Amino acid sequence: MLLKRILIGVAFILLACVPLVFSSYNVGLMGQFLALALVAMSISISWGIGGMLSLGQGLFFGLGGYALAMHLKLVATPKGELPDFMFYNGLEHMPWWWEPFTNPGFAMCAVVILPTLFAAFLGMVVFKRRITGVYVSLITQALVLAFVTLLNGAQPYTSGTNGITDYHTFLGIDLRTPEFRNQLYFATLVLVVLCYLGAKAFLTSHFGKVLLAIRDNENRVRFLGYDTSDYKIVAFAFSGMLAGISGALYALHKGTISPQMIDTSHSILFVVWVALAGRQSLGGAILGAVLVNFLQDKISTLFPEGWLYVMGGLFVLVAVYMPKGIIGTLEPLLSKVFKPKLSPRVELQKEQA
Amino acid sequence: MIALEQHDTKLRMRSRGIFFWGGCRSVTIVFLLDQLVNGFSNGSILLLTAIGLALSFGLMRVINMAHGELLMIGGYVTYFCTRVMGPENFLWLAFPTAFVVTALLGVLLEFLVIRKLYGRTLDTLLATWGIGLILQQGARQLFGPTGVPVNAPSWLSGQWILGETSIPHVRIFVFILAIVVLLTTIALISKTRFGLNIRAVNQNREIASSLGINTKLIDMSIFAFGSGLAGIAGVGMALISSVTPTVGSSYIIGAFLVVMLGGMGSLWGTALAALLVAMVGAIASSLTTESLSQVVALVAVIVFLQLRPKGIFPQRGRSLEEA
Amino acid sequence: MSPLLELQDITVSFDGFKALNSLNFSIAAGEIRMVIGPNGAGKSTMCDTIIGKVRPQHGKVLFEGREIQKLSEHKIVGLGIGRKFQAPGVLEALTVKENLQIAVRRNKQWYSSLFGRSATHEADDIEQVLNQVGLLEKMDSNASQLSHGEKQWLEIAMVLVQKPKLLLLDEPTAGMTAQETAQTATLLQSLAGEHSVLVIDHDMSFVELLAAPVTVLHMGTLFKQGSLQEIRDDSSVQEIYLGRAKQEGEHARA
Repeated sequence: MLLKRILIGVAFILLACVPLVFSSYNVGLMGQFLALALVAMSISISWGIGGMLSLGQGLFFGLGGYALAMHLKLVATPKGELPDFMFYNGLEHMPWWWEPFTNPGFAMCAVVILPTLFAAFLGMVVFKRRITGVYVSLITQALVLAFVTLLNGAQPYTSGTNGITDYHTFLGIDLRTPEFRNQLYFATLVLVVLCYLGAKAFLTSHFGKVLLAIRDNENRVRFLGYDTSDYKIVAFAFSGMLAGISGALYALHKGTISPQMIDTSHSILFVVWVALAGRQSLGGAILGAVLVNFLQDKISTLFPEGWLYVMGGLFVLVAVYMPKGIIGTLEPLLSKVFKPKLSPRVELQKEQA
Repeated sequence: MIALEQHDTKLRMRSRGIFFWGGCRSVTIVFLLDQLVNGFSNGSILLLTAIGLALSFGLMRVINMAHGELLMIGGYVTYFCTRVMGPENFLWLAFPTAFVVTALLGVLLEFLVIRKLYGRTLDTLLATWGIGLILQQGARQLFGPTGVPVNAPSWLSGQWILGETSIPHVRIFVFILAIVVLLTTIALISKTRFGLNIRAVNQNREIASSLGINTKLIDMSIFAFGSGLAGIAGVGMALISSVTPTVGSSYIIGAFLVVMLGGMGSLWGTALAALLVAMVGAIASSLTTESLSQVVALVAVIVFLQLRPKGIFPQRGRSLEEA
Repeated sequence: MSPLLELQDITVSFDGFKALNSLNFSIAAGEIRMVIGPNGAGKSTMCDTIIGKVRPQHGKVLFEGREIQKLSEHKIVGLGIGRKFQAPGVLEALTVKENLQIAVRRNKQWYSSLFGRSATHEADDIEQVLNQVGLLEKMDSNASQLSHGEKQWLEIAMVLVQKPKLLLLDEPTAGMTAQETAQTATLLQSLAGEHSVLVIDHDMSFVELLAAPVTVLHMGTLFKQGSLQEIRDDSSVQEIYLGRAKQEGEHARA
């Protein structure tokens, strides 16, 4: 356990050194990956620990991302005018639900609250009816499809497939300068570390143990007198919140947010990052997100056509040969030296769940 | 053609984006009927896609996300058949070829990947999604990102005039195709020796195996048959929409919802669910826009699952809690 | 004195098959009761109905005079009913101690487990119950590393530590050695008086060790009730067991 902590500490310190070593472009890239690491972490919580595989995490990611991007777009729009895409699409007035996003405080609250509330609502709908397993996955996937269809279809209100783009300042700071890139990188890193610690505290509390127990044997926990659906709803909402924050950070880094970034194939890609590194480990989720995105960046510059094959292969590889992921495969070797944490049989049961 | 023209006007109105919420358009009976006809044929393709999924999920607990890509391959096979046989007779070649090609792919898929994943439903989902991506990208590189058209033969290009509205023959054809495939599959499972073996394996693998049934072969044949049905669905799909590398992914999620709604493995339930989803979508699309109607249909399914979490015809012993 | 638990005219059917058919049953506070019956007599279904896992189509379940058949499972458990399942259901990803920590919590609401601290008496309770079942030394082992018998005991401990008024134990000695079975019998007897215990078991040696009043279920209804001696000597009870064996024999031949 100690070794693990040291490793994670070293990893974070190395990440903090990134701006000292790499070019501004790469720092920006790394910042994006870190922002995405949060959505990976959110999946690790709901899936790895809670046993609820959401294939629609893009929904919460998107709610957070759009909430902030709406604000940024309004800031970038001259006073008294409509955002450009509304104008092109023939709108004459700003829709009422856009108005409050003029306020940065409101937008940032919305980034956190909107995805959390929506995830909680969805959790209530699904878990109170005792819908579990692959059904949860298929329902969340359908929901993200519905969300993306809605975003694409409601062009005058959401800018459709183009997404929200062309915003350059946040709280009066220019997003495009190299200094800001570094600052944003550090801010992202700090947020990731905070979320990591918060999630750790969340999971090491009594709550986390109950959640783990629910994943493995929900009935047993239920008949120990717990309302298991409440636990699942709360964990799912927490996961949704992290995904929302991730989306907002990503919109800030990327300078745009569009339906393609959250659609079904992206949502399932989030899952593969987590699966690749090891679904039960929060640190693994960060590692997976950074690793796969780094690979994607390199491979898609070298062979633009080839990335999708690699990605497809990655899905198959992870599912068939590495269901425990990199960390899950390495950990038993490491913990032979220290203390065994999970027996192989438990792992097997989890895979089957 | 009337239906198509109306469809075009609708599209034009939508592209201006003014009528997004659809409140301004008057809904005539004729328009509603057209939508229902469209709904029926969309429902037919949905059903054709969903039958294969219901088999692989209901009998093997495999979530085959690459099923949509098998559909797409069926579409491209149809396109090749039009090149080989000409515009009139290609269908006679397309059906058997599409079935065989996709069934063989199914065999390959089962042998290389699925076989290693029995009992791990979520992993089958991830692995087959990856395979779907590979197949999509392959199609994109071979045939380009834009679609290839398949025109229905002249004996299917007419329409049946019904007062003010009309039904294109090709849509009737697709509807009949779906019914035929549904009934054939049900007969195969419930009436033949092969179907008996399938049911035996499904109920108790060990006992079936000890009775001398080759369970691995049964698994493979179910999967191959389901995949072959995707090929057939692809032929039907090619007749009513153009064939693109991503056409499969536009059907797959809806088809899975249909399978869930039907009761995960109940074929009659799947059929009823496909009809319901298509009708809800059609009625919604006559009131609002196409994209909003899709949303309505998706959400309607989820709401329905609130009322009956096990689907319309829940399969015995297969509760939602189990998967 | 009114009984602690009372089933009134309970009917449960699965797809037309009546697993319980107008069953009436009651157990007094502090009583130990054995429930036996041939396979399919409805023993497990009875436990499932009490704890809310299965909902009766007809009839009432009264616990301390209160109707509970419509309450949700965790509320029923909260009233003071603990259930041990037939297959050992310990939480294998956690240690023995953590298993009991989950069971012992008084306030099982999510916010309490997120923000609340564990009470000091909880640790004492855990230690005491571990001592009772003899797992004190294995407190920090992973539950998955226990033997089958030890898992059974851990699950019994998980039920005990909740201090329920009524314990439902479904085949607690399955997979135990003769010695472990005897220890379990002693343990259960020590619980009588303070707790009511309802035990389902097939193992006749355990039934004899426990020497508690016996209820015989048959085809979903109460067939006979009496002391162990009375039941053993009852020819009709022998008949339902034998008759069943005879029927099964005929099936096998057919």
